[in-house]
Amino acid sequence: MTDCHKQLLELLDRSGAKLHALLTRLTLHEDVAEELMQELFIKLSDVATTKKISNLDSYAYRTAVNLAFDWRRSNKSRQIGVPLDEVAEPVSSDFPTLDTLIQNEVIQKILTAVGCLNGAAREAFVMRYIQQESYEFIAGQLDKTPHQIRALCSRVTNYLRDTLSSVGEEMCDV
Amino acid sequence: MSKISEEDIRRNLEFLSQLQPSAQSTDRAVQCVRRMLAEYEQPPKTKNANVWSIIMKSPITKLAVAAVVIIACLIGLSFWRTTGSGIALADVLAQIEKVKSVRWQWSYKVTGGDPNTYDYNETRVTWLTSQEYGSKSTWEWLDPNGEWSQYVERYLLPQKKTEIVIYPTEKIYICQELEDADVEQIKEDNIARDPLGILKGILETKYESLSKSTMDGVEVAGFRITDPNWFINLGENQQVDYKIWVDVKTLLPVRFDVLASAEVDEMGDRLTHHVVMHDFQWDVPVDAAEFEPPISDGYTFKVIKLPPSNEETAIQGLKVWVELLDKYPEKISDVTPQLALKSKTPAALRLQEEIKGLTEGETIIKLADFLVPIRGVARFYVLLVHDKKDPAYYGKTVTPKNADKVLMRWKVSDNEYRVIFGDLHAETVSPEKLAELEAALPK
Repeated sequence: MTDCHKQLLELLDRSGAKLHALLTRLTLHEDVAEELMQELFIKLSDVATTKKISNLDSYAYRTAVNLAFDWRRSNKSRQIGVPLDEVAEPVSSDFPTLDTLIQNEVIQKILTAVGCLNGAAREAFVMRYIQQESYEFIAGQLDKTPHQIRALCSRVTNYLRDTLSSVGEEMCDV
Repeated sequence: MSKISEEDIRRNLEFLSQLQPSAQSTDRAVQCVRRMLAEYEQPPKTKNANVWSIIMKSPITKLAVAAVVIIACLIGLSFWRTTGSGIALADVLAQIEKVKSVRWQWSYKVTGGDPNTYDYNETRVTWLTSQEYGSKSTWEWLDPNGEWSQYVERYLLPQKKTEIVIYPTEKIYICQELEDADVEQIKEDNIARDPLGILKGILETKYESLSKSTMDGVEVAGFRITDPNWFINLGENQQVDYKIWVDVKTLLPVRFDVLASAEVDEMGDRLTHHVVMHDFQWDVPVDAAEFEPPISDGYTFKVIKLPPSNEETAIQGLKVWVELLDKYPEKISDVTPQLALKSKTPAALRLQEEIKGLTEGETIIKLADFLVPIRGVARFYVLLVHDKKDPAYYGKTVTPKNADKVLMRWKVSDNEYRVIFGDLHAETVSPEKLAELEAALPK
């Protein structure tokens, strides 16, 4: 086994469960998350054999986010959402299940809108609000200052508010 | 559905963040990857460096963006020539073919990717084309201060067998002589008349009709293409949404709207390209004087004569690539200097040293000379495509050390192919022998 595969196994031990949880949250399908986990590590393996990756955890995280949103973009039919009026209000003390989330149109729309973003803004937002990481941790991962991350997250929140307030507006043509 | 408030967004995000996959699912996912890693030994794989992503990273953006047009035209040739059957769009095509001249605006914006890696770029172009005189385009880009600056004027003049590119800020005037073959190619393929060429291509592909609507007070009918393979290749996992809106009364286009995105690095970061052609003025009166490039005092004049397009030129161009990169470029259509400016071979370092300290204008002239042999090989290949000579190029896997491997080939006759091998010697072979050689190509 090569060094790069050893590094990937260490990454799998260290962060495998976390990456799988991230993929599940972004796709809302366990079976898809399992497939994307494989795809993620195939991509990482391909890259790691040809060049040195300075921060493998950050690289894996970004690649996972891109894979998940690519899947969402090309599998719209699997994103079912019940209109807000018809869905039960989420209660913070309840433990959410995939069934309740996949039916939640607001969450589907939020994910679609976040999928329209690119680069650091999307990564910072997902890390902060979907993975609940600290600003300091995200800053370290994305090579930015905590202040820059706060500003990015704030801009994305404003964008989501504006985008999702426009009822009926088509998001993300491509 | 009801309006979504910021509170709704925050509450639902918190809800989503609490979601945990089942332990069984996580276990399956991790174990599956573990098994795969234990068995998986993937040979080194390089990703296609795509022309547009390289261009967008270029420090010489102005020169590079101008190259986009050339590349887009060259690559576009393969589908512009196609014809096919269609009903409504065929009528539109017939109308465009009657047009003697047209002026329109073209705007281009690229977004996405890592802002630390990719320059965000916005360009707009005014085109004027005439069957009689040729074409003229004026290019402007949005500078970092948010101001539009003119940076290139390009004239394609088939009658004079010349192409002229003017850089007003740098006061540079570059004149390129064209061969008869180039001129014929331009006439035949209507490179300068994008709407016609695009329509011809669309008739060949699968498109859908959109319902009628109104655009700027004009009733229009729409057509849409989403086949990612139809558009110029921008990178991996390409997605394309190409819409055309046609005035139902005149049957002439009023707007082309293209959204295309593709992955530009191994992490799956995407760049989105938005191209719009709009403000068409069909059969606009034109004056010959509009196609006379202005000549002003203080300009530096540069005349470029491309070598004839033939096998010898192609080999010369490939030799230059090897000197610069110590290998062949993955794509033969790559006529930008970026690869050489990043390479560490002695020839590349010499070039980098030579342009160090030059003004932008001096750099443009220097690189224009430098690109001649490279453009020669790219142009030869495009002509082979144009003439349906069944060309193929394998620079992605064949290196200068592969003396017996096919680097490039094209059809000479029904019974013969000409082949340039990895060590740049050339031979004529039978189709059977070629099949044998290509079966032995490195993977």
